[in-house]
This record gives sequence, structure tokens and C-alpha cells, in this order.
Amino acid sequence: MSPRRRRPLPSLILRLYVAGNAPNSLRATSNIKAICAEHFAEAHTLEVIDMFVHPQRAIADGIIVTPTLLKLSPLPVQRIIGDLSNTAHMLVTLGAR
Amino acid sequence: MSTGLQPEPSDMARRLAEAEAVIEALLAGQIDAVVDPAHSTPLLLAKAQESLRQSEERYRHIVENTNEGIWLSDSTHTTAFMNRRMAQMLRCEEDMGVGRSPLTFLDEPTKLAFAHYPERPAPYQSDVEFRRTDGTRFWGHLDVVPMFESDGCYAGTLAMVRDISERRAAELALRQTTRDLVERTNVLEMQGALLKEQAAILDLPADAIIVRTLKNQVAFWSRGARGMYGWSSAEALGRRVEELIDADCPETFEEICAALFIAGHWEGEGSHRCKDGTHIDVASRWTVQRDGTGAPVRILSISHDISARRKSEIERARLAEELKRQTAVLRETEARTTYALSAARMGVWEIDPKTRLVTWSGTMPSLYGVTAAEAPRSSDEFLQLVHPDDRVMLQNALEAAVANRTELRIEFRAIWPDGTVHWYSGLAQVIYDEGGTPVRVLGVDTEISERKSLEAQFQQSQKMEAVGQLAGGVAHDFNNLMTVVLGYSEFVIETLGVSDPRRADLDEVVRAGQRATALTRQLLAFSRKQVLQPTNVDLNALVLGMEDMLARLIGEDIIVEHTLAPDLWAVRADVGQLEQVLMNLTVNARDAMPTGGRLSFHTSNVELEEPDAHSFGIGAGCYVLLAVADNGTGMTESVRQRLFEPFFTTKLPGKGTGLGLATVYGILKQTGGTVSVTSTPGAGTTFDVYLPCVVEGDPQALVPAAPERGGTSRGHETILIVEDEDGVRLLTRRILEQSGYRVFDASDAAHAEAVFAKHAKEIDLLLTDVVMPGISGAKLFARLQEQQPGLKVLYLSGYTQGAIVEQGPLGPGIELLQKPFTAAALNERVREVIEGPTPQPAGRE
Repeated sequence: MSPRRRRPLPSLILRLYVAGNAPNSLRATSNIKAICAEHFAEAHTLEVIDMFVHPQRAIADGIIVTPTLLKLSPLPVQRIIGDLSNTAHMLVTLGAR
Repeated sequence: MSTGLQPEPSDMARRLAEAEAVIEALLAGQIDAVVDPAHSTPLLLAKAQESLRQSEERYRHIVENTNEGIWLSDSTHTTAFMNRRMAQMLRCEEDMGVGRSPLTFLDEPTKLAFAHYPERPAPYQSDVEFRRTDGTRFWGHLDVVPMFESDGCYAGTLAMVRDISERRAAELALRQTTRDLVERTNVLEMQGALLKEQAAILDLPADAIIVRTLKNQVAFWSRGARGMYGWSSAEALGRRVEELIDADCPETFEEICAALFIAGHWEGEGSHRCKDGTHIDVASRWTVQRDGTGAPVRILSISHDISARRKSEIERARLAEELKRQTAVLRETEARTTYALSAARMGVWEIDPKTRLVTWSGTMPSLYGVTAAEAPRSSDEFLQLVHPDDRVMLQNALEAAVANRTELRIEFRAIWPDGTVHWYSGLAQVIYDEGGTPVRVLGVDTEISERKSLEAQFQQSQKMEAVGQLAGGVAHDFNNLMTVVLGYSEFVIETLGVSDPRRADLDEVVRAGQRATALTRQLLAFSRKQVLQPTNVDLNALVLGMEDMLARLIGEDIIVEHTLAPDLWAVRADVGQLEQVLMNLTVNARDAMPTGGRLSFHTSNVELEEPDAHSFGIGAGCYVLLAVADNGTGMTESVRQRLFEPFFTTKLPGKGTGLGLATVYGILKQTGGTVSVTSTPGAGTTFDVYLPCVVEGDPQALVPAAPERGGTSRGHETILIVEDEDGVRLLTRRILEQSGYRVFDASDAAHAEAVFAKHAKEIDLLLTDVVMPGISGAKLFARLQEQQPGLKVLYLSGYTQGAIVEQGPLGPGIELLQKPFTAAALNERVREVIEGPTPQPAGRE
């Protein structure tokens, strides 16, 4: 483990669009929660939105497939598509140290 | 983060990158749904994805849980995947075989099959023996399918393996079992054939083979059982045996079973009832069939119809009985034969010519007067029994018979141990073997002493007959001569004075003549040629009348006693003959008592009944018994038996004629009586004389014995004398003429008839000889009587034969004068006849 930086991290705000209990959606949910718990435990916000329940929000966010993770903060907003199983790529994209 | 550092992508670029990410995610299968902005609803991609995933899950589940091994290898023959089942089979669960070459798991033949597989991949199916990682092996069914890329390149191989160890083991076992079965079938077939043969033997119609349960139910019923009992197998199966055959056996089924289970078998006989109700006798053998533990399960019985045997046993028993009976009959026959042989005084003997050994039948010893122990064993010993005079003759005859092959017939004598001589007739035959050698001589001996004796008697009687003939003939002439001698002697004596000295001389002549007459009479009596003149006689008077004469005969040393029955019946007999009998018996007694003794006469009436009368040789009836007993020397049995034989005498030569008792016997037999004698040597002898008594009502008066009339009877009647003997005729004529009669005479019948023809009316009496040349006196009288019915007749006889004798004693009315006669007797008889009744003509009756 590398030594942590003592400077407060910018708040991580994530929004995950899922499709009910579809397998990739469940896997994606499980994966992001695990990453957040490990790498962004002190400051993160994760909002999981079922696009069957809130399709308008998905449209509003320009979502075309699920699961899709939106990193709203820190900017730039980035989209990660899939079941979020590529942890290394995830950490890079989410800005973990 | 490098956000600040990187140039802001253009929206387009961002979108492109996002699209690429979506495609990538889609390809990666990480997309659940697609949002269709046109419809503002998420695309149901998620569901399809789920189905796909589920199907994949299902396949995975199948792959992982199937019983078949699934094995994937790539184009380099390297294992890429195998399911758990496959790994289990190959025992390589730790690495699931990945990276290994499938060939390492294959046996050599299969390796060869896959040697060039990558170059020429092809489907392959076979049962293959796999080698596990631990070196053990198993059999599996390998099904290989090559896989190709869409461009046709070989991509790898999918193999499916099914563990067939069990199946193969089962197959092996099945094969083995099949082999075993085949072998067993062969054995069974052989056994079956054997059994068939045995069954064919066992299943004979005569044998009933029945298998029954322990409850006596039929489990098998053979053809033989059907034949024997009439029940078919279909009828019998399952039924209780006793319902079918109702065996009449002393033991119950349970009792038999008890014995059967202990011994393993049981045998018995009984009567069984057949379907048609008939009964048969059966012999059965039962055996028990046991299971592996030895417990009885079934009972096999084999039964055999022994009715025929029983019948044959009964028949045999009957035959045995018959044989026994016949044996008994034979034995009886043998006993009878022995008895017959013995009774016939016969015996059977056998001589072995080689050893000269003799075998005698049971009757032989007594035949020769010896005991069985004394019986001869050899022919030499036998010859010792034979009369010495006959031995050589016997031996020669036997040798001649053997040499000449002739029958032996011989008569010989043997001497008994008691010294008596016996006569035998031997009849023998020589038996030869095939070679002609004599093997034995078989013979029969018969004692013929009695026959010999009878022959001797016959010869004797023939001799006596001859003597009698001679004596009779002599007596005839002699009597005629004596009649003349005595007659003329009387004439001379009458002419002489009482004191004339010549008179004594003439008396001597007369006495000698009378003795000669008596002798002649005796001769005639024993030869029974005498003519009897039976009259009714008082025997007591006769005995008393003879007393003086008998006393003179026996002398003074002998005392005479009389015991005479007072009411004695009269007897019918010739007085002269009776006198003769008394005289002879007296003389016999006298000679038995040379030193004196006692002579007794006893008379009594007896009624003889059968069989006493028969034993005396006379008929039953009334008799007068005259017993003449002396206490003299008596006689032996052998003498007694021959006592009445003519010329048999115990007296010294010259002392006796042997005629005395023979005469007595002859007279009594002729009279119709008999004589028997009992004697004890040293104690005396008794003669019992039986004389027939006079039948009640007999008209003829009892005449006094030996009547003597004084004086001469004279007459004046006319008499015709017929006599061939001149001397007698002239003497007779002279006597009668002297008595006052007128007399004609003739020498034969013809002459007599001639005289009678002239003087028939004058002649009162015919005085004729009985026997004459030409016709007899009786016939002459018959002829003359026809002419002159009142004619009377007096016969003269010195000797009789022919018709008169055969007719028996002359009956009443026929008068006879015995020659020689005295003048007084002649006169008296002539008077009697002339004054008597006229005789009935013989031919009228």
C-alpha cells in the first residue's frame, strides 16, 4: 500500500444507471460499491438509478445502455460502460491514487 | 488524474469513445439494456441477455453434471477443457487435465488411431481403455468430433467419454455367464439326453414313477403310472395320491414318511386301486429328494405291477402243492409197489458186473429169510445163500446171459438160515452201455416155493389120479373076481356040514377075500371113485355099534371114552363110508399112542355160520360134530399141514400106506362135510369131523346103521340080469334062482333088450351092471322103462365113473349094490327093491 496523501480528496459523485436486476447491472452495482468502499470510502456519493423506474433521467443524462456509470464529480464527467469489472481501468478513470 | 492536462476532447470524439465503449461492453456481454431514446423506454435487451446467460448456465450445469466426460482439446492436441466428470474418470481433478495431451490418457492402439489426427481429423468412435494418471485403467466409450473454424481450419476436438467399465464388466460377466451357460447348457443337454435315456428306461409302461410332495400330492405322474393306474398325468397332477390309488398298505403315508426320511428309501408291497376300480398288487420303492440343507422336499416312488408275479407265485404254490400231492401219490404207489412185491414174495436186485456188488430192494431180505443187515453185498455172498446144488447152474446162467445178451430166466433153490429150502424164480436182464459193455444186471426174484409145492401136489394128484384109474380098473375086475370067489365059497360052505374039517379052510378063503375087498374099497374111496349111498344115519348109534370092532382094533392099552350128545341130529351119509372114516381115525390115534393112552369120541350139534363155515371149506348150516381125540405124541405144524396128502406118512416103510387120512378127507369132502385137525406135539391130536345134518322134513326114514337081517329073503318074481362079467352073472343067477326067482340073463345091453322084447310083461326087476360095454346100465333101464313103466331096477357096481359119478351120489329111488356082495346082501336088496316104490322115469322131469 502506498502512503496516502493527507490532503482531502475532491468529493466523488457517482451515478449508476442499471436495468432492474439484470445481471450486468447487479454485477456493476456490486463492483462499484466494492471499489468505492476500498478506494473512496471517506468521500463519495453513489446514486444507483434503475432506468426502468426513471427512464427520463437516463434519457436526460444521455444514457443509451445499462449499466453505465457516470462520474459527475470531480469533473470531467466521464462515463464508464459495462459491469465495472475492470478495476484497474476503473481506478484510473475515477482518479484514485 | 490528468484531466487538467489532457486536451478537452471534442464532443464528437467523446461520443465516439463512448460508442466504442458501448460496443466493447456489448461485445463483452456487459450490457443489460439499451435505451431507445425514441421511445423513451429501455430496450428489453436485458431479458435476452438474461435468457442467454441462463441458457449458458443450463449448459454449464449440464456439462458439469452430465455422467459423460466432456473433453476439449485445441488444434495442437492440448487439453483445453474437461468437465468434472471427465476429470473424475481420469483422476486429474487437481488440474482438470488442462495443458496435457489427450494422448497421454490413451492406450497404445488408440494412440495409433490418433497419430495423424491434426493432419486428418475425422470423427472417431470406439471403446477405449483409458490410462488414468495414477496408472490404473478403465474402459470408456470414446466419441470424438473434430471442430473447425468458419474458414475450415481445424480448431480442435470435442471428445465425449462414457465410462463403460461397469457395462464392460457386465458384458464380460455376461460373456462369461454366456460361456458358462453354453457349457452348462451342453452339460445339461448331455444330462438331458442321459436323463431321457434313463427316463425312457424308467418310464416303461410297467413302472409307475410318481413324484409327490410331502403332503402326498402328485407332482409328477409318469406314462407308466398312467398305464398302470389309468389316471392321466393331467388328472393326477396336484391331487392327493390316496384319492387316486387308495393303496391298501399296512402302513400309513405318515408312517412310511417317518421311515423314509430316516433311511432315505422305503420299499413295500400293497394292493392299489386303479381308476376303473380294479385292484393290482404293486411293489414300490420310495426315495426322498432333499434340498441343499438336507430337508426332504419331494418323494419319488417307483412302483411295479406284481399282480402277474403274485399270480405266478400262487400258481407256483399250486404247482408245489400238486407236486407234493403227486409225490405223496408216488410215495404211496411206491409203498403199494413194495407191499405188492412183498405180498407177491418178489424182490428186485441189481448186480454191477464189474465190481460184482449187489443191491437189493427192501423186500429182498425177507424173501431169503435174512435181515436187512444180513443182506449180501456181493454176488459171491449171495451165492452162499443159494442151494449148493444150484450155485454152478446159477452162475453159468448169469454168465451166459451177459455173454449172449439174452434174458436170464432161471429157477433155483436157496437155503434159509433156519435150514428150510425155498424155491425161487429169477428173471433178469443185462443193461449195456453205448459201447456194448454190460453196466448192470437188473433182476426180479420171486419165491415160488408154494407154486413148486402146488406143482408137486399137482403132480402127486396126477399120480394119484393115475393110481386111482389103475386101482379103479383093477378094483372093478378084482371085485368081480372076489364076488365069484366069495359067492362060490359060500355055496361050498353051505354044502358042508358044520363039523366038516374043510369048512375052516374055506372060512379062511372067505376072510382073505373079504380083506381083499376092504383093500379095494379103500383104493376106491381115496380116489373118490366110489359110489355113495347116503342115508340118514344116527352117528351115536354108529359109534356105539362099532365099539366092539374098534376095541379089537386098538388093543387093551388104550381106553375108549364116549361123550355123545343125547339129541344128536341125524346125518346124511353113506354108512359104509362113515365106518371107514371112524376106523381110519381110530387106527391113526392108535398109532399115535404106541404106549397106550386115551381115545375119546365126542358128538355134538353145531350150527356153523360164516365165516367159520367158510374157513372149513363148507357152507353155513347145521352140522353134527364128531371129535376123535387122543393124548398121543401129537404132530408138528409141517406134518399137520400135509396130513391129508395121499401117500404122506410118518410111519416106517411098510407100516402104512399113506392112504388112511387121505381116504377120510376124500370121503368127508364127497359127503359134504369136512375134517379139521388140531394138534400139540407131545399132548395129542383131535380130529373134528363135520357132517351135514338131515334137513327137517326129509321123507326118508332114519334107517338103522349096518342093518343085518337074519335068514334069506326069497321071492318068485322074474328078474333080468345084465352083467358082462360071466363069473358074476352066473353067480348072481345061481343065487337068485336058489332064492326062488325066475331069471333071465344077458351079457350086454343089446342082448338084454332082445330078451326084454320077448318077456317084457313078465320081468319085474332089472338087475344091471352100471358100467358095461355099449350103453350104460342107466340108459338101458331108461329104454326098458319106456316099454314097461312098472319096471324096477337095482344097479350093481364095483366101480363107477362117468355120468353117474358126475351126477353125484345116486338119489332116492335109485338102488345100488356094491360088488363084491354076499348072497344074503343080494337077496335082501332085491327084495327091498321089488317091494319098494316104482322109480319115476328119469326123462319125465
